[in-house]
Amino acid sequence: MNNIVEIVKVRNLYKSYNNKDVLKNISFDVYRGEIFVLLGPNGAGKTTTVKIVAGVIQADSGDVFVMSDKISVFKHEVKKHIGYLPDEPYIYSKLTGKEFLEFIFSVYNIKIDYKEYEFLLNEFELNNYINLPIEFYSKGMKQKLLLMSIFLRNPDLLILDEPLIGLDPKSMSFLKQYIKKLSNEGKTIILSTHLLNLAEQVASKISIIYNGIILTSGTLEDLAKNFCVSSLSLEDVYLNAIKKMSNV
Amino acid sequence: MNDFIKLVKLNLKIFINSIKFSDKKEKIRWIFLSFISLLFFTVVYIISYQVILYVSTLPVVGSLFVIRILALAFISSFIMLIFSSLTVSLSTMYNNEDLEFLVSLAIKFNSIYIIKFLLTFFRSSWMIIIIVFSFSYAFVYVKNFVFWQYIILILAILMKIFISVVIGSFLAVSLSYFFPYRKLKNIVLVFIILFTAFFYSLFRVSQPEKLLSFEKFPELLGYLDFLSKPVAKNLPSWWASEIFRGFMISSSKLVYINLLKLLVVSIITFLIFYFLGRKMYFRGIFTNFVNYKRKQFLNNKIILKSQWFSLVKKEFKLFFREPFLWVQLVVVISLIVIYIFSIAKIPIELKYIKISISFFNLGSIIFILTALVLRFIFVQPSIEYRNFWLIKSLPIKFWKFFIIKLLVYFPLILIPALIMCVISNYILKTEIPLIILSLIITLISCFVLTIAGYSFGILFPKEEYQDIAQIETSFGGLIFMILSLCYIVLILSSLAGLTKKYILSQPIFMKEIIYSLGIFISINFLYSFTTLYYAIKKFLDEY
Repeated sequence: MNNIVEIVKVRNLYKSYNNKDVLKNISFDVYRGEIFVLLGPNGAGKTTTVKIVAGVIQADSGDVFVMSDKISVFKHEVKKHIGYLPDEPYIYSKLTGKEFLEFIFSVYNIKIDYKEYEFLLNEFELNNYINLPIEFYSKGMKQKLLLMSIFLRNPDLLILDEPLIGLDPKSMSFLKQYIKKLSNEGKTIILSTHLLNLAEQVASKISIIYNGIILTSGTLEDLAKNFCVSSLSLEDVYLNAIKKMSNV
Repeated sequence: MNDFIKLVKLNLKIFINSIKFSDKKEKIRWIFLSFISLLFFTVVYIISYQVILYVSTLPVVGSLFVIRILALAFISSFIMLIFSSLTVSLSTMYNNEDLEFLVSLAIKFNSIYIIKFLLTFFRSSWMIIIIVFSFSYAFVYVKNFVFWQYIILILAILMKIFISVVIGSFLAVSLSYFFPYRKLKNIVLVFIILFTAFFYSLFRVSQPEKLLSFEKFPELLGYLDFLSKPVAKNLPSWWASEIFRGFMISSSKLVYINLLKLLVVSIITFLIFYFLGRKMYFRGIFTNFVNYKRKQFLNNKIILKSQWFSLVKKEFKLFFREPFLWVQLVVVISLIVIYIFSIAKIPIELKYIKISISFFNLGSIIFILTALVLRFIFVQPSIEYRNFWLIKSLPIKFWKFFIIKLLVYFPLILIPALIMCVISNYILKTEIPLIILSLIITLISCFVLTIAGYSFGILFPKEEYQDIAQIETSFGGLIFMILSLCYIVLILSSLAGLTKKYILSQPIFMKEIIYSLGIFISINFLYSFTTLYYAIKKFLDEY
């Protein structure tokens, strides 16, 4: 039942920087409860794609619909449904962790689930740091704080760009479980990564992006079938897809 | 030595690549900066040439005056450079993002120490080198010196500059040994600002321009007597000026003795800096790498406020927690005090002079405002640059974001503007209509400059910087200052006709008022809203 509700619809996205085409005709759909993984090498166009879907940058052409509303940098109402984690966790370094959370929750005007707040604070081991200025945080700690700010808001769509980078093994494991839990609760997750094992473990649908083009999309079984790979190994599928594209 | 050469090559490559691989915008920036440097060199040369030529031809005191002016200029630049290299070395030697990386490499620590010193030398002295080279060239030209004499003069000046940079860097290294780097830099900056403001005020209190009146002849004689005495004769600045004097009176002995003094002191100060300083530096940087405290707080409660309130609160918190902006507040207070002090000391007897000065007072106030906008507002987008993704991902209308910026920063500029405007007009005993006009124009200019300053900050952000001073002196900062100067000239010109008629007590027709106001409003509208339009466009498209 969950899968029939379309949460994200991306059609014919084009984007270029300094006369270089970064995205060329990107299209995909993501349905409610799906964990959609955008997989690709560095510089493939993953971050640009998720930034456009999150309404942080504008595409040169093409459309993105989030919960049937067309998204752009101007559409602030749609953004209430989105939780976006960038690949580089830059946040106001002069605010404390708690002040940052206060700022975010005030902007979204949401009530805090204190039970969940304490739970996440413990899981991410931020209790001793939450009242310290963010400038004293490591990259992983900033990542955890941003993840907390997203999880506590409980948005319908989570867009996570390289969420495991900088996290310790315990937090990585917790994050994977938490993503699956959210998916089971009907939340939709778009995950951009170059980590094959993460994609393999959590994805319900995978798109392989290379040089601004989506090479293939589907479940792991679909991809294996498309690229005539006998095993259900994402690594083999991925390498086959990239090799095929390089030959073209 | 091998490591040192590698590091020199690395820094050269970084510099060359920044030019070689620059995009069109960057290339224009390089050309523009080279043009400005060349223009600066030429202007300094022309002014120096005229001043030296004029002073040299003064009867009785001409030669004496030249050499004393030189000595005073040298001692000022010597002290200025000690302070400037002190602040620059704190950034270059301590707060440098490549420092941790360099220390992690298998490179001799001494090489890192020396390369950081060389970078401090270039970064702190390049502007003084341009001025002094240009000035010396004018001096050599007026005095008909030959080429080798010019070379010796340049060598002497370079040694003087080297000594002051070594002293400044050694001070920085010694102070960082005892105090935490972050606090130290701000303390030093506040100290320099207060020091400069104090000496300027002393200079204004002495009112040297009064020596020009006939009744002050005995004081003039005293002044000349002061000029005949050496200016801090045990300092390298005096030795450098003595080399100039040596060439003027054809005394080779004077030249060689002072050149030798400079050389010996350069070597000794450098050896002290090298052997004593590097040990302190080594300790200083490692305390800098692990410089943070952990605190345990009990209250983890999250307090929610309205969207507007939380956005404004965020702005205030970010502003007041940036120590450099506190230092800038000291700059603002010093600027206001100096300005009011200068106005109070202007001798005004005639009515038309008073009105003219009141009018130009307005221009000066707006110019100071431009400097304030550059320091407080232009820098904001660069400080917040890496967080714009967050603002854009939040459910906030983008215009709300811009309005909050305006609400927070407009009063910050308006308050000092009104203080300066009211007090200076009170001191000048300006007539009421002109005071009202000044207040209205100041208010409008504050509004326009706040918008333009923030917009320019968005249009020319400095993504990578080690301290906020680098944002102010960036290409965008330069463009903002130049265009704001044009703006000041244009708005004053648009009202100059009406003021002239008012001074001459001529009738002013309604048509003229409408015409002047029309131009005035158009200039303000163009400067604020055109820049804002392009800034919003860039904010939405690129960040």
